[in-house]
Amino acid sequence: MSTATLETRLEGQHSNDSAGSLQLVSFQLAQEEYGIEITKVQEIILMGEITRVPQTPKYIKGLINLRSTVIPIVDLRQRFGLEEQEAADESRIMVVNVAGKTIGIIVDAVSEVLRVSPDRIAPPPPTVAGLGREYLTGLAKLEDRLLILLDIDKILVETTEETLDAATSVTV
Amino acid sequence: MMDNEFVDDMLADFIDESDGLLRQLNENLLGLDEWVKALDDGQSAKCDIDLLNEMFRSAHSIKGLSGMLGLDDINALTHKVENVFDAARQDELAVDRDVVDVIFQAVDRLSEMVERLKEHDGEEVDCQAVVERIQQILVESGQDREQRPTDSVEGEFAQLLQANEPEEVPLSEAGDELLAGIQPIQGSEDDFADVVDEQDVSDKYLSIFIAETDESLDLLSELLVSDHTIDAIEPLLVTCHRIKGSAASLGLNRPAKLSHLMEDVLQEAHQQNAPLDSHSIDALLACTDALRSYVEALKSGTNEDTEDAFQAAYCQLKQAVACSTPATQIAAPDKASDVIATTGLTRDLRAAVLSVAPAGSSGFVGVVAFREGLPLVELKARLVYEKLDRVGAVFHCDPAESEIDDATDLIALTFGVVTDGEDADLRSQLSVEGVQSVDLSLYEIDETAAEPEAPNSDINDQQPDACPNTASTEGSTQAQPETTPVIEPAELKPTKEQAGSNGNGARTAGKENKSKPAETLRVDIERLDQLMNLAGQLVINKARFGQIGDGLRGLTSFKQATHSLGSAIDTLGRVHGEIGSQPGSNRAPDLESVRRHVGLIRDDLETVHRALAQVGTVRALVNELGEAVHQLDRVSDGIQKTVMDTRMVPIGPLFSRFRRVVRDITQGNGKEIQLVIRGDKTELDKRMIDELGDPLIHMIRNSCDHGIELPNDRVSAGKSREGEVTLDAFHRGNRIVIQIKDDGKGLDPDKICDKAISRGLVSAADAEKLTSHQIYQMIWEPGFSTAEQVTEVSGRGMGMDIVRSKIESLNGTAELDSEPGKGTTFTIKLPLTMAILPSLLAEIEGDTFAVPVESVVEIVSVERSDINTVHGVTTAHVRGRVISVVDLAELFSWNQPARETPSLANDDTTLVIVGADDHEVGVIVHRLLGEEDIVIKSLAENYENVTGVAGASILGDGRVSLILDVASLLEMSCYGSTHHETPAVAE
Repeated sequence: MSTATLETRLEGQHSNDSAGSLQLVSFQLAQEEYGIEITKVQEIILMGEITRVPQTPKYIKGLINLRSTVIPIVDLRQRFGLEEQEAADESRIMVVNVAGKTIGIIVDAVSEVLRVSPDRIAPPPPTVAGLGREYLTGLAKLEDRLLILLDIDKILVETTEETLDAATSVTV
Repeated sequence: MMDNEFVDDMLADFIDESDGLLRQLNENLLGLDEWVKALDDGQSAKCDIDLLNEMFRSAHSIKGLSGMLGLDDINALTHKVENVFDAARQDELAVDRDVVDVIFQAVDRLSEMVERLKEHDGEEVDCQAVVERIQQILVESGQDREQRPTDSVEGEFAQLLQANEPEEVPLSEAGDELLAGIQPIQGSEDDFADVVDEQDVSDKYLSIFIAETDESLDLLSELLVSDHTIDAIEPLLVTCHRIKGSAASLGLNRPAKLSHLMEDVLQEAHQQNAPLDSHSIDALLACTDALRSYVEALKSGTNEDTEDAFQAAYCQLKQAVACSTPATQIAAPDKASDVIATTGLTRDLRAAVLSVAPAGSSGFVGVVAFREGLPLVELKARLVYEKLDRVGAVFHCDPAESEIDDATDLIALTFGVVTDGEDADLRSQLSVEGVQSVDLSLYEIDETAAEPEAPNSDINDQQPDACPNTASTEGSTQAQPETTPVIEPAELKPTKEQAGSNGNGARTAGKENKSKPAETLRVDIERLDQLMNLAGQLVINKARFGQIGDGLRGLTSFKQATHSLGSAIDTLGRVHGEIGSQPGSNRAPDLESVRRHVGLIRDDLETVHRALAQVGTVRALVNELGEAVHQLDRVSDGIQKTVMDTRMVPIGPLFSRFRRVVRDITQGNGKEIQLVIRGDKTELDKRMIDELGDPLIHMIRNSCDHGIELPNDRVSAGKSREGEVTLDAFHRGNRIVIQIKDDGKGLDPDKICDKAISRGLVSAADAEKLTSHQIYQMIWEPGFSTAEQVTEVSGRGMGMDIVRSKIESLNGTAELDSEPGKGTTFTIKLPLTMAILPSLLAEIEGDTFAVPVESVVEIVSVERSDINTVHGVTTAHVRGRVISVVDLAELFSWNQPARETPSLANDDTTLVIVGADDHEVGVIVHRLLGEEDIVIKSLAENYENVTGVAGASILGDGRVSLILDVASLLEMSCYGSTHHETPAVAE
């Protein structure tokens, strides 16, 4: 029925069995690796056909049909002001739940689900990859690499606010 | 005591009902208010007694229900309110402005209390002040109803019945006590003849009554049959009371009376903290059945007279009260017996006893009642039995002769005996120590009378010693399981029966032309939502089936292929034959192998040919599929429509809620405003009505508070003193339009402009370019309020931006138009259905758009030369008309690349001309895909609303398409595309 095929469902995995540790989904974007709390992530799907929508900011790629629900797709690269890139085989849509809405975000690749203990998380640096500090919740130091933890709520809620502005500017 | 689920259920019902009752009270109060006003103006209008009665009933119903549920605060307040109405309708209290105000306050408090019940955690509502004021009013008028010993309704019953005082023969002390408890509803056999239902009950209320009572009766029967413990009594009480309340509130006095008695019986048991005995249960069940057949009769609209069933059940109940006998038989009453009983229980039971009486005999049927708590009562009973036995042939005895010795808590003994002795003789015989009373009735059965139930021929021999026939007794109990001890009036008066049946006849004639009310069913709206969703998905799937069917049909046209295959086989056959026909000696080895291969190929082809022929049957199947899809189409259309219809409710009640709002505002600000309501029959989706309440209130407040001027200002502006706010609802095309219009001072564009500039909503330079219509729309912006003074009324609550977003979340639009000095009009347009929209699917630059069919005016094909661009405006000539043309590629601002660039090779351009109101534009489309019902998915659900797009939908192939919002498209094309617009500075 849908071009967007269900690849992985992560629902229900967000258990807090090991005390205090944070469960994250990590993904690639440009050359960086980011992490989002697993509780925010509903599922990860393959790229499908996206219906473009007028009067929206450039980072709104359009709409897809997720099992009879229409959800918007945000191109995270463009949201972060990175250069655009054609969808590759590795590209995925992460379906996240923020502020009562279901939104899909396009990422270059989804890496893994991992657990990080709080003491490995450092406060965020002023800017990372052109992102202001306000969009970051911290920096997770893994054995061989760094993981930038995103405040996905903030990123996407502001996204919708901006689109609201875009929409109202037309009506006046 | 009661289980929680039951209480919750009752509570939900109570909230539901009291909501309706309170609304009614409010409406009636407004009527009363009008009347008081007229009175103040010196016009002496006659106070509408019906109005007062109706209000009294509403208050009484709430009082009763709340009392049952132990909602003491509501109960106390409604009781006071009820008293006021009662005093008023009896002309003991003058209704004036003060009274109306207090009652208004009381009703408000009540609404708050009910609201609190819904929320569970709301604040305690303080109604003490109101209660005190009412008390004061009552005291002033000398009508403190608190002093009255009985409640007024009960009082009425008593009055009604006193005229018909019965000649009761008290049977026992116990019976006496119990009877005293229910004195007000005691009556003779013909009680019900004097209790008449009101005739002009509206069908609407009737159907509600039917639905409710059906429910209650189900509950009653269930409780009565399943639970005989003390715990069951309370829910039973509540349920009976509910029936009584709703019946009485409609003026259905007969069922009200019956349920009242049921309630009394239960109350008695409740007070004594004793479980119901089997006779009471049987009697209550009989009452339930009688009520049920009454409701059935209402339902069918027929006049099947339930009089007798009522009478029978009533008498049975009375006796159950009088004689509580041990629970020896718990049998569900035979429903048919209610029908058999034609002149009441007396005759019914008499008949039951007599049905086993020997033909051609004469004797007595009677009841011997023993003193309550009599020690060794079973021995006394045995003694009585022996004595009877001596007098004549005992053909009936309850309890049966064999059971007497075990009946240690016997109260009464019912018997039938064949004798030719005198009444007095028998009485003296039966006056054993401990016998409370003896009740006898003479009978005589003709020799020729049909005796179908006489089970045993040896009864007929009338021998004194042949009688104690337990077999026949049991037979009779089976045939008449509800047989209970008979309390026979000393003598039967046939004239009463006559009178009763005459009364029936009159009533029947009166009810003859009553139409059949609609049956209703209460459904959780969640379920309807779910059903709606499913219907939506069905529509999508239906579309998918249609596509698959079309695709298959294209595949099955292989006639040509079959034909060519056939000829190929023929050719090969010929070649094969020709080679074979050559003489064998001349055949080259090569040729031989060619021949062999040709043969093989031919065989293969033949196999293919046969297979292909079989595929032919697939063709038939595809055709069948087509038909099935067609059928599916019809069914899903039907489901969709029915689901829609199910959810439709008239907007009237919502509108009339605002009368009160307007009244409060006028009281507060000294304005004179009349609210005119039109189109209150217009139906809207229930969800929409629920959602519309808040935005509408806000707009009405706006109109009343900011729109309408003070009376003096109005007069100096040359208008009438009284301002007018009009609420209107009507259909236009596939939409529902709701208008709130006032004839006030209108909006001041300059003021709005200044405000917008000062709030940074628009720059001063841009503001100059705006038309006044555009300026008006700015009041929808967040943080905008034109009132210089924020008043209590409209300054609080939500802003206009929230009003608009609420309406947009319903896929509707909100607009505003105003003329300075003349007034302001808010127009809300809502889709008729929440979800499904017939649309035209069209491809524009590779994107599929759905255009609502209702806005499509026509589809034309124009030549390129007919399209001209003058001063940046593109127009087309269509049959002499000039229509502006929009290209969505230009009108909309796209940030994503188009999937494909359309080839402009052909000279013709297809225009879909869309229009709303009197504007029209032609939209350039590149391909038409056909018409389809689509399911609207709101963009706001997971995103935000987008200008020019009314929503999204999922196509049959799973893709998402956008729905064009024709209204905003027109606006965009009129006021320039987004590119020319100066974006507002946000923040």
